[in-house]
Amino acid sequence: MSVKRLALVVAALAVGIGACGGDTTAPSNSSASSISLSFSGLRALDPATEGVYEAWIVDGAGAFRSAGRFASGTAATLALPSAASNGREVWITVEPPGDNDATPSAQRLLRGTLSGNRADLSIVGAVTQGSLTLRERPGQFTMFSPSDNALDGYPSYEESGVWLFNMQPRQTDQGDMWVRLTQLGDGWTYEGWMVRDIGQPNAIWLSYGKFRPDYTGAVNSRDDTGWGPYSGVLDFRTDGEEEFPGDDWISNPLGYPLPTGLSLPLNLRETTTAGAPRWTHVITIEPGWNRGEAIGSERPFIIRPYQDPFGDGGPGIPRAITFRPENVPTGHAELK
Amino acid sequence: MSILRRRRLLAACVVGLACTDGPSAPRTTSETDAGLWHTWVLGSGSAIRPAAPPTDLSTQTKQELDEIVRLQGARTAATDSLMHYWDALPTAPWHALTLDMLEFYWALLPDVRPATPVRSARILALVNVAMYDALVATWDAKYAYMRRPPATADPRVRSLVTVGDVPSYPSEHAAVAAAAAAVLAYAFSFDDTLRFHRMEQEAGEARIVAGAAYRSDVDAGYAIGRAVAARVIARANSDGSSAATPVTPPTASWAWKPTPPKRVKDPFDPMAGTWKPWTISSGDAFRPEPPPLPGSTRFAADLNELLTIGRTRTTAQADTVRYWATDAPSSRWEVFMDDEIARHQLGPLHAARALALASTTMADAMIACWDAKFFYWLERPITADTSLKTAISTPPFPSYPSGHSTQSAAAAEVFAYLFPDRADYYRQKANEASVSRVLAGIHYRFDIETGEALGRKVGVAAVARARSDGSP
Repeated sequence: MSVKRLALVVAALAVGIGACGGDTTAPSNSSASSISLSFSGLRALDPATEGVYEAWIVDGAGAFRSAGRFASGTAATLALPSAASNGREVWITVEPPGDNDATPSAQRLLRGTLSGNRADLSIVGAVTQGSLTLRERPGQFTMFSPSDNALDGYPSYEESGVWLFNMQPRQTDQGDMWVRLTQLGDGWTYEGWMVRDIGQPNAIWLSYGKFRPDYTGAVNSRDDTGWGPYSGVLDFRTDGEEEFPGDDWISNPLGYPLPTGLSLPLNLRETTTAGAPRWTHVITIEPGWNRGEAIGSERPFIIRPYQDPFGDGGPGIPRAITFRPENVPTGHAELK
Repeated sequence: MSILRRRRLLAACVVGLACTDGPSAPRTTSETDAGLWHTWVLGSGSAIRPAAPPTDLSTQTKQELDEIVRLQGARTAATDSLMHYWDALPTAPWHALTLDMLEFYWALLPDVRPATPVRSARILALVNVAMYDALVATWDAKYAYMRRPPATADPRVRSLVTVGDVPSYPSEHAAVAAAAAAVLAYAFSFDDTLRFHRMEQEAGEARIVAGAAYRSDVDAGYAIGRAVAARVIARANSDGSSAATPVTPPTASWAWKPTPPKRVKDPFDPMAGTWKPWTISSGDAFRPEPPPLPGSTRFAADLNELLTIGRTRTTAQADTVRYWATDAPSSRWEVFMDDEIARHQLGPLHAARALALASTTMADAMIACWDAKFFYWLERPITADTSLKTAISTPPFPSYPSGHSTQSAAAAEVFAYLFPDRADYYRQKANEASVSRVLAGIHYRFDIETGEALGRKVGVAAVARARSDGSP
């Protein structure tokens, strides 16, 4: 290659790189004194039970410097720390209730790389591992109640349970029984819910447990409540050893609190008087510290990427899990 | 739309049939001599030949033509949808439904057990044999009587589906429907069996309104189907599968014991090796040599291989494991068969023959495999070394030989015979199925090697029968 030709190539590369707009090496504006944040898909947290948001400027060496805490889920303006002049990234964390230390928690919620003074914030690389995005077609959930099959056979109370596995594997991308979910960072876990009258003031959120996919993304182990507290099985956390998350709501021999208005066995095909399904299946992403919530007191966190009406299909009918990007928080940061 | 119908349509969509409004129509091939092909439960295709149909000029024929004209005049969108749905290979909807049912009950294992690996293969064989024999009997009568389809006999009748040049009496869709519905009702007697019979009625009515069949064609088809089903069910009732003989595992240290995580105490179908096979002489006809036992070099080497895999298993390997662990292995191969039937545009008789041949072969393979499993009672790797990391739960029955390996090797031989252009592909598929069990950590390599050898013997025996079954 001639010297002239080489010079042209180098120049072209330089132009190309400069035009990318994603220059991750440029430090932030050293004259900036504040950071302005705006979000969608967030809401204010309850400091007593959910913690608070905290903004961080991360430098090229990976050091985190706090820009302060805030409660709003829509916008915040914070003073920049004095040592933030060489910031490369902006992170938003959720600091657990009572956490007063100066280090970021494991609940890293949003992340963005500064380009000039601005950064688009997303959960990628914060809630999720590496550069993984949330899966758009994870698979299916289905209705039936296996915890009494050994005793009562099939069918028995098949409209009283929900389980996370692919009843019609051939309809799924993976072609097998296992739902696939994006691997999460250490501070987060998935949680499955059945919600009655979602969106209404009197909505009832019933958790069927928390779970994480394995290293391949497959959801191939039971959730933290096994068959569930309302399955009628006394040792519900360990009996059954299902390979799938899910719960049955058949009976309550251990006397756990059951929300007012519900009776067992549950009818997940229940409809309103107008014929609309009352139950909705939701998968949320929860802070890891929520593990161990008292049964009956579980509440959903703000990240609710999968939501589907349960519908009127019978036991075993596959129900696709639908990705709802509007329920996943995003944000923008600007240094001023 | 009923739940069952939604499931059916769903299943039909995924077996390789075009699914805009319903399965696509098959290429019409006359297969005129198919009434002479060898049958499985009937003495011959002519054994249950019905009486002759009404003549063209008879009052009954005239009334039936008037009925079709009236029905066609009162068609609705729902009628057309059903008509189009049933304008497919007569076996296709029933095969899809059977797979759908098995897939559903596979998810209920181990507590509810109609769809264990062996029982899944048995049910598929029963349904496919019933459909095939019903079609052979139908073809015998069709070419004995040579009745023209109504759409070609009366200008008032429109041909709303592909009619072709096959005689209409008896209706093949009705015959297959009655045979399949009755066998499914037998196999899933605890389910809502009325759904099967409603579907059976739909099939017949759809063919009448389409101008493809007279009501007397459909009635004669139903009669043939029910007669065949009665014979299939009689065979099923005497095949040994209902015997509940208690078994006790040997107490030797190497013997099978319940496996984590569920530790199911009662293994699946311990007597299946004694069930009546379709082609091979008995379950022990090809019984393999004993497996290597703990303490032997081979056992140690193969167990060590699994320990290594457990530490290094990749995502791609885990996905292969999961693919083959989803559904009974026979169901996977039945889907492959649907793909080939569509790819080769087989006519109804050839399609039904292929289905019956493959499924009886796979049923025999499982019988032979289960004979060896419960003759040798070898423990699973996970109990030989509890530190082993498996990719999936170990199924609750002995290890040696591998059911996936036996069944897939047998199936591959049949596929190679039926579709020689894809012989290598299916033998590779069989190898993939086989190796997936080692990658899963639930079978020793000697399990799969022995299973493959056993399966090939069963497959060769099945192909030998097929070569002389009278089909071209």
